[in-house]
Amino acid sequence: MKFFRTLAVFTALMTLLAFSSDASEPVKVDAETAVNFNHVLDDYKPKKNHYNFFFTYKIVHPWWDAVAMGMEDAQRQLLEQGIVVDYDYLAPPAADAQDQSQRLYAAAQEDYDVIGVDVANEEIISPILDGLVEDGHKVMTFSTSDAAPGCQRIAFVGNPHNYEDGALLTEVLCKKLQYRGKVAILVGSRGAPCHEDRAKGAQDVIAKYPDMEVVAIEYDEDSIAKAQKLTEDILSKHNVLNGIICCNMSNPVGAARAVKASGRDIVIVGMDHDREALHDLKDGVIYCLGVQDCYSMGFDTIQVAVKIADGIAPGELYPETTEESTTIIYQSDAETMLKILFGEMG
Amino acid sequence: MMQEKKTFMYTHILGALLVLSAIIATTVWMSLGARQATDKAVERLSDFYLQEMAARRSQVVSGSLDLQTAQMERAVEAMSPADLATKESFRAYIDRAKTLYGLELFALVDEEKVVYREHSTYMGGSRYDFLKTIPLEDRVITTSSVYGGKKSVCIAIPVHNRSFQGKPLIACFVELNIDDITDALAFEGGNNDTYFNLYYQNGESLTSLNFGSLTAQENLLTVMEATLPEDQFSQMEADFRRGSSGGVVFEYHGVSEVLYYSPIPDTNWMMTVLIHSSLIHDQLSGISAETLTRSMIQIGVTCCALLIFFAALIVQLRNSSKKQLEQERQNTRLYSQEAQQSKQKLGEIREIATRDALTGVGSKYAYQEKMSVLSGQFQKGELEQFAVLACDLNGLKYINDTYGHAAGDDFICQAAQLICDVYKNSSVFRIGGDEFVVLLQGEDYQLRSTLLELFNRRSEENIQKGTAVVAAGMAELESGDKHLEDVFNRADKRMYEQKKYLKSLGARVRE
Repeated sequence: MKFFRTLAVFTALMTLLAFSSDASEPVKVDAETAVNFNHVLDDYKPKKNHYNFFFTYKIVHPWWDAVAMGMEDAQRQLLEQGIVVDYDYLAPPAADAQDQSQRLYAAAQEDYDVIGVDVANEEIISPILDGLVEDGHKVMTFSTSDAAPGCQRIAFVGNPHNYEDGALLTEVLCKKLQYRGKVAILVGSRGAPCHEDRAKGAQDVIAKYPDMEVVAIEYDEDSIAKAQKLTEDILSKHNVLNGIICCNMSNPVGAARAVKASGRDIVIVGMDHDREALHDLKDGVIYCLGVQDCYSMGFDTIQVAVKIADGIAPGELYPETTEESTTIIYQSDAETMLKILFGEMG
Repeated sequence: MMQEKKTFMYTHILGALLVLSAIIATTVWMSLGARQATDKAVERLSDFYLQEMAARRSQVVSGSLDLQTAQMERAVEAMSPADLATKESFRAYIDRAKTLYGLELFALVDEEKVVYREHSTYMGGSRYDFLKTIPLEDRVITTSSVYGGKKSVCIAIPVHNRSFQGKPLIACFVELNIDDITDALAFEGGNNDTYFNLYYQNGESLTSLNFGSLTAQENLLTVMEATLPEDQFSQMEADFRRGSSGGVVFEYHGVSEVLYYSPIPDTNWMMTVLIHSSLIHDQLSGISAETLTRSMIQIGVTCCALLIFFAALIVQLRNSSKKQLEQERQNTRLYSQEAQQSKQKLGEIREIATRDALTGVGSKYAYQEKMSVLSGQFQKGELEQFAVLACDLNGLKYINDTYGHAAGDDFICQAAQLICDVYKNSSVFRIGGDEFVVLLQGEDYQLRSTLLELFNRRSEENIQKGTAVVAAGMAELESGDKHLEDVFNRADKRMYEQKKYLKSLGARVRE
């Protein structure tokens, strides 16, 4: 667990360094460490030979496929030790808190050791999780969206600094624009804590600077096509637009497509590691991206789930919140990231 | 004779060297010709072999894909309603099918694109490309780069008339580790100079394996575009696009490579074989070098044989010359010995000829030789102080007749002794039985009168003693003498006068 804390501190330091430098010359980060693919199980000896988990997340999307890769790695390593981990990892084709609720109720009827949730909507899901806990289920949250504060879920593995991520990206944008101009904010799924937190962080930063103005806030519901359409609409409505802040994985892809098509000079900052977005970063269409360590989220989720299933409460063996890193990468890091994540060579 | 032999030898050596040079030149020429021919033949064979290798391995990969497909079909056929009864039984069936049919990462998919594997159920819609084109009509092979940089290869086939938990199953698939398949194509024992890889028709690597000097992340066609001449690249690109076989030679990162490619049926993949040119060239060079080495050995053996032959010839000639020289030296030694012996003998003969055997004084021959020399000097006017003493032994006949010849000889020796005792520095010759001549020169000439007086007194004293009495007459060279015989004649005349005088004193004279 110390490793993750160290990683989080490192990320924060990098961020501070980024803020302290000239925005036109971004701080060089070590893009190669943005995602850790070399995980090894910790020394914990599971009490059982077989575990059965249920995980549900916001939407069917490549971002969560990346989390799944980390889960499969941990599952494989446990299997090599003779410990079988079965799990369901399911989501609706479109973000839907009601659908998630139904999935959770259905899971509660099954004999799962742990139920894990990437919260689709904080307000709707958090009470359901409390109910599951009260019914004796072991519940955890994972990936980017934790439950509301005060929820009884046992632990969270993922990104607890979404607000900070949104704020950091916006600070970078403001610095690039020399704290002057009009910006739009694209958000993902309405009510999704991670997306909402980032959007709030972005708005709070913009509010600090009197010469900056948010002219639009739109939700793409994690759809690239919708993100593109929303951006096109914003561009048509606002002849003067200096920047776009993108709060999820689909936002920057759609925004970049629309901006490229318009031929206008607009600074785009966004989240995540979509391959097309990384190419846009490489080409200078996108200014920077916040890359989350999805692989580690998946790997650590399985490790923590096993301990929760064994009845171990957060403490010495794992923290209540396992914090995974977000790394801001720039044009100069794009090739490295494409190589690491997708095996591409410039 | 020796000069002729040397010329003969040099001519032969020069001729032999010319023949040797011709043999070497011809052999080298033939070797080089053979080498070029071998190079061409082996290169053609290598081309054929590498192209065949690419084609064969293409078939192996194709066969492997077909086998996986057939096994999936068998696995689906073997699926029973009981297998589909619960999640547990379904997962157990998938686990069993994996083992029984050798299916790597075998999974089934329902209509909601939920993927079922032996230990997990997850959403596949965003993860697998083949699920973007459902329902499947036939087998679909897809490849994609997945998070983490690895390539995913899926073979999917449609599934009919099967449902799980009320949802129709639409497909099953295997996810292959293409690196393992490609690795298995390499030569057993590991050959670091031959590489295999699979590429998409767009030049992107299907595997995460390095391909010679190319890394897995490099697009083959992009590299070739920057490396090959335009026409060759266009040909290769067209081959990739059409799915045709071919080959190119190129240099990348300073390494010369030979590349062959062959399409894999029913896919958009190309099987590629790459070999370092150096390996082929090394092999060719090795064969050629072996040929050349054999030729050189042949030349070497021929040279050695000829050298041995010439060495033997030279040794033989040298031995022959040495023998001849030794013979000549022997002859010279013998000749020298003979000459020495002859000279010695001649000396002995001369000694015999010039010395009177009885008395040891000069012989008549020696006297004549001396007189000849002195006559020459006289004729040239070089002889000035010269006198002749003519001596005759009185009473020799009486001694011989009375006491025998031995006593006579002894009597003669007494006379010679008498003469030599007085004329110690002059040449004394016995020129007859009892006749002696003394030639006076130098000191004895200066003392000639004193010596004559002494000599005569001793002869007179010997009359009383009964020993040898010698009558002597002396004459000097005079200005009017025309020949030395004139001096001798005067000395002889005076000797006879002395002889008469001695007779008067009682000496015996010839009667």
